[in-house]
Amino acid sequence: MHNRRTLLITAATALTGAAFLGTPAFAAADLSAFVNDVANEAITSLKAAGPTDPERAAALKPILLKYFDMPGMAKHVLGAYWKKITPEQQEAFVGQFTNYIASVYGQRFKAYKGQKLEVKRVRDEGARAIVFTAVAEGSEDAGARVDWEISSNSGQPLIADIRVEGLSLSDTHRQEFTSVLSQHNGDISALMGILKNKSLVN
Amino acid sequence: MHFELKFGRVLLAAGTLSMALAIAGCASEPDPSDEAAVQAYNEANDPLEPMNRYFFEVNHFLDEVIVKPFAGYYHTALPQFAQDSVRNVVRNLHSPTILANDMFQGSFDRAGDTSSRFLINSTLGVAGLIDVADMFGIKYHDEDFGQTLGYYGSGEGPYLMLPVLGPSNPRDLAGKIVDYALDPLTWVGYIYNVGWINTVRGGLEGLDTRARNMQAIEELQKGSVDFYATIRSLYRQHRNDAIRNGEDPDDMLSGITNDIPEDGENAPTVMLTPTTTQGDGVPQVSEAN
Repeated sequence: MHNRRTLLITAATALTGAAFLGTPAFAAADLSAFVNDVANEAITSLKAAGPTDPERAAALKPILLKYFDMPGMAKHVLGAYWKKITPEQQEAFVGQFTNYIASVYGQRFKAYKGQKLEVKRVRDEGARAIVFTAVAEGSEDAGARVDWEISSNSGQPLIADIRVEGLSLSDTHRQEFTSVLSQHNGDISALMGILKNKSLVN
Repeated sequence: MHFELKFGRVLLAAGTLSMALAIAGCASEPDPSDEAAVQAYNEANDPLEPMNRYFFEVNHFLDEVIVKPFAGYYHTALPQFAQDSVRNVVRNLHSPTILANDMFQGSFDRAGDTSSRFLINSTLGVAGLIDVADMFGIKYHDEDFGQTLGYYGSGEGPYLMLPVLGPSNPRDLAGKIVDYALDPLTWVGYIYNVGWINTVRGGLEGLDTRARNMQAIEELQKGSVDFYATIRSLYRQHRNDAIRNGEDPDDMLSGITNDIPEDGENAPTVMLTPTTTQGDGVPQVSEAN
């Protein structure tokens, strides 16, 4: 009885799900391969980079530009302030934001101890997909949950956000950036100055 | 005498609080015509921001002069297994409150885990010093009454930065008080007049957590453009994640997932989630059948 009901629900969900979700832009296997590639390339180039923080930042920046939706993330982290600045300011902000992210997260790779990434599952909803992974040190280790949000708006998969143990990179930066902007009456140059001070690459 | 002392402390705390309120006042609301500022204000959900920032500074100062140095000694002086033992004992002592909250949320699988862990670790694990249950594959999980309230749909309320205790909100603060009353250790402390047991456990827990996150906190602070806002955001996200027991939010609503096709076929199979975490806080529809 229970089995038959489960089967029915599964079939019904499959049908309605397929109807509502439309055709995913990319196969789930492609998406997990994509995340694996990005992680491997990042690890390889950060390992090859020198030990100093600016060197790490410089190694991470090309990966951000290639695989991450930096304009989309920059727009998200400014909230409603994005619309209040000129297109030139927007473009400058995307660049400065990329340098800042490369600098901050390049430093954090110091702690890399050969952890392995394992794709747990993929949820693909067309324009947006999430690849759920676990990053673990060994087979004993349950690993940290790392979720990769992928947007396919531009026709190729790009990473739009990373969540580590439920903590979103984009949402966290959005809170601090909008907090700084509201303290400076929405003056983008104040935020740009602070980000420049924290950046180790140009 | 004991009660008078406590009462005095409460008065002192209340006095400090009202003084800080008087100094700082409430956050000035943004100009309603400035939609970006209004959005930022609403998303921050922090009407007491000036007072919260004041206590954040106080806590930060206490951390710099007391907690961080001690945590540094603790981290360098104690070998890793000793630090793990401290954490294991503290976690084991929390088992009764975790168990109660597992039950409140109706997650009996997790309640089973918590009781097994408590029994195994209190005996084989020598009063909780060794996490034997973990070796048997029964993993530790956290639960508290703030999460229970969240599980039943209670909103978090405005952000609060508590002196010494750190980030919170009305929901989690109420949860802390309930957990304190639920905790057998509280009553052992009262009945046998050994209230310091609770303080020692709290102190050790804080110290151990601080020591374990030494580098992470340092990097976070270094990279942050507004450390207060960063902590506020992280606290909220962490609590939301804890209430969901780490499940994906949309997952709980739709229960839809895609399996990874093995041979690279284009159409993914959509099916009802047969996740490993069934019964872990996710309301079940047809469990009775």
